Amino acid sequence: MRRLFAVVLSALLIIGFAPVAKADIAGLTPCAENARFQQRASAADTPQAIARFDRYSKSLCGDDGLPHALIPAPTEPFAMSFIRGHEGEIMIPGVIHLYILGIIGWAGRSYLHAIKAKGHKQALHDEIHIDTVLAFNCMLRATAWPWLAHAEGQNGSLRQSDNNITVSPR
Amino acid sequence: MRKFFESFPVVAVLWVWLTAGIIVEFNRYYPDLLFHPMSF
Repeated sequence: MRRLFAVVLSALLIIGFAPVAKADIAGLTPCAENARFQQRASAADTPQAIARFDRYSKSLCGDDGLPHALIPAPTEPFAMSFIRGHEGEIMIPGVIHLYILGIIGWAGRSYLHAIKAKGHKQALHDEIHIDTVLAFNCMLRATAWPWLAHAEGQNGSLRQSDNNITVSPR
Repeated sequence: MRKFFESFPVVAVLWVWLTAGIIVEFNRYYPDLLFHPMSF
């Protein structure tokens, strides 16, 4: 019965919602067909500006004649299918952004862990006078942070154990 | 001298300077990247 519901729901979602949403994404029109965008593009005079308008004409424009970036609705079924061809606007840069943030965070975290292992005094010293070789290695290792974080999450060392966390008396 | 260059403020300045330089030069050769280029 549960499987039947799942199949019916999927069928409804595929037939009912996806084509409607695909026909018109949030009331946007392709920039190449947008009058205000074309008006703006015709004013371009430098080769760089012409190339820019040429590239932006592939995206979708609002009534203001400006390109709008599409974000997939994360909770919507088949969200990715709505923004087919527009993944480069938010999704791919977003993933790259989060990956780089992860590298920065993981590099700092692993550096602090590494100097902590050297003893309290040396750790204090190495926070001010950076151990550049160690820091560089931490940064290289941090490029694999999604896997390292997963492994640490599995073996329990990602988080501090509960008895090391102070709580107020209650 | 090495101790000076490895002190946090100096490392931070060099690091930000280098990163900003990379981004500036990237934008010089690949300008106006409103979105990630998609081939399809």
